[in-house]
Amino acid sequence: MLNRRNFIKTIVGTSVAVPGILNANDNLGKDIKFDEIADVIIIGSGVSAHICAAYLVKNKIDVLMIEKMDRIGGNSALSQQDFAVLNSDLQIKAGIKDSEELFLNDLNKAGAGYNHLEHSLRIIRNSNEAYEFAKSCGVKYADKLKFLGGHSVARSVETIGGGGACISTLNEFFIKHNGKIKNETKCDEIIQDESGKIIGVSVRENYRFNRNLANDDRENLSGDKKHYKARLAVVFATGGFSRDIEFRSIVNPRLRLAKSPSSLGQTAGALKQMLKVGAIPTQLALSRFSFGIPTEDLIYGIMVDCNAKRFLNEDGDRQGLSNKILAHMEKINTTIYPIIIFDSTGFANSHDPNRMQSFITAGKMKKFDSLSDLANNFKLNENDLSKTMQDYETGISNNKDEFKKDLSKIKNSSMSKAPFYAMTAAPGLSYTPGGVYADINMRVLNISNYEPIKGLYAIGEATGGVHGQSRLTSCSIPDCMTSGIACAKDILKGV
Amino acid sequence: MQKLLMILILSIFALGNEFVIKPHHIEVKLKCTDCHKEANEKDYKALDSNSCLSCHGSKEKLAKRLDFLKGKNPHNSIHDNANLNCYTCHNEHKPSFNMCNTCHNTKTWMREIK
Ligand SMILES: Cc1cc2nc3c(=O)[nH]c(=O)nc-3n(C[C@H](O)[C@H](O)[C@H](O)COP(=O)(O)OP(=O)(O)OC[C@H]3O[C@@H](n4cnc5c(N)ncnc54)[C@H](O)[C@@H]3O)c2cc1C
Repeated sequence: MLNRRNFIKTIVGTSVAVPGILNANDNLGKDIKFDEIADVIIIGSGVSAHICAAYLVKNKIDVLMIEKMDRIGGNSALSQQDFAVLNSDLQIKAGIKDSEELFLNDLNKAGAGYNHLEHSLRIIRNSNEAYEFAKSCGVKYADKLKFLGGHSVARSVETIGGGGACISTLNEFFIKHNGKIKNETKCDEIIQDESGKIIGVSVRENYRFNRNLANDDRENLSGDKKHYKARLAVVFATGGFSRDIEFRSIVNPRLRLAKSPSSLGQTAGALKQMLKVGAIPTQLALSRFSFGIPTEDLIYGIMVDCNAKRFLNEDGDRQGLSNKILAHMEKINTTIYPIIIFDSTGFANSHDPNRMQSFITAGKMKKFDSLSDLANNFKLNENDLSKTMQDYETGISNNKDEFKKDLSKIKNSSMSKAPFYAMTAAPGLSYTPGGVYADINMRVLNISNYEPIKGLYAIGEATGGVHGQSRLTSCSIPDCMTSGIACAKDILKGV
Repeated sequence: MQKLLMILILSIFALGNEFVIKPHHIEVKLKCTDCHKEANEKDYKALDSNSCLSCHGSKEKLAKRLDFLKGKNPHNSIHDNANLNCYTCHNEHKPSFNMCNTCHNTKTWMREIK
């Protein structure tokens, strides 16, 4: 927020903006000279930004999108973009019986009651509209449904070409409809007028993100300062903060040691800007992990820490296992991730052997002819490792596992038949469920009175409280898309 | 190896410790002023991609040369197509950085990045 002295005086009665036409407000830059002006300024260039932008430009609104990174698309460009949709054409064609109640049940179960119901319903009820809108912009979906974990029916559509294709298609659509985008332009501050209404942002053009800094938001001074004015609204579509080790360790110390497969720019800077103008921080301590290997297969192997010792029951979901791994690493004071080991019997028990094979081709999992090769490769003490494996086998023969694993489920897996297969077990923080709280029109609410902060919207992963304790698979994309459209519609109401 | 060492020593000698030039650029005898057009050394700024492309051709041309990597072409990836700036991965005066490597194990398909 700029300090009071820099506030711009607004003339009463000119707050209704006319898209595409300069109105009286625009000339008020007494204290601030605005370098750019647009009806709507969208911060971020992921799927939520692009869907919102596409909807607005299609309705002739003049939109300027800015992105701090060189890369367009943030995490959305890395994402598979599996997309849960209620009553899609594909569900109807396949005769799948789905309903609002079923979908809500699934979301509530994952969210464990931490999820705001009105947002769950926003996602469910508008998912098909969003999917159809994305298609109308040219995004392509495979002609099959996915039945993903945590969903009670097959309801997820598959984006052809994943997030990369989705973002480049939407970007083309946006540009074709006269949308403007500037990358390497970072939003630094939200500008308010005297009444508290959001009227623009202060940015740096020619900004170059520096991955070597401990905190790019605080330390990076690159770029040329500019001021942009928004006639109608500023939309924060700024994603999560999974790469911001400093910030995520403050909101939840358990997250400190997590790895992150996220885009390098996923930091908390934008979130902090919204908090400064009074947004409500919501559920920032929550996390969502990816694991690199289907966790249902882990029961057939063992996981050992850097001392070659087991420390948990390998049978668990990725959220639970990730938490236990990170807690154990803190306890034994190491930054080294544990190793997952299968012998050839355990490896063969995988529910998806082709996928396991693909991990080997990708170099993610390695095959070892002897235990000493494995121990060498991961710098484990061979004797200790061998003892751990023997203990595990003794447990199997006595039908009593040290960590209470249900041995009746391991399908005769053992831990002694070469070749061995192993990979690092690194909990990957790929999504941060926390963010600012917004109403279902995606207006950011003010912490002092719970009223919307005029002119400020937040969409996509930047918002919090939507998914609750654990976000259901393939439900970020419908969240990003439905929030983008809800925001666009609310902005259009004011035109 | 010896040749490389010589080149390195020479480059350090010529440019001071701070701004070492990569061996392949020394080999074609690049001087500071070939890339930095500012009159005064103290005004030198970080380059944009167009400076690189003035010798290396277009991003599309560079992408084509790695077409044999099929779906794993870093110059035309499924995430970014051919849209990234050169300096997102390549550095001239410090070690380069393989961004693909932040999520994928690139050893199985990519050489060390220059
Ligand atoms: C590998 C991976 C796979 C995934 N797979 C799925 C899946 O299959 N299904 C699913 O539903 N979800 C999936 N997700 C999650 C989902 O993709 C993301 O939650 C979603 O794409 C987020 O979109 P967004 O638009 O909110 O933010 P992002 O796409 O992250 O975009 C935010 C952008 O804002 C920019 N930004 C931030 N601060 C500033 C600033 N101050 N100034 C300017 N720009 C700024 C960032 O650089 C970034 O580009 C996956 C995530 C990952 C990492």
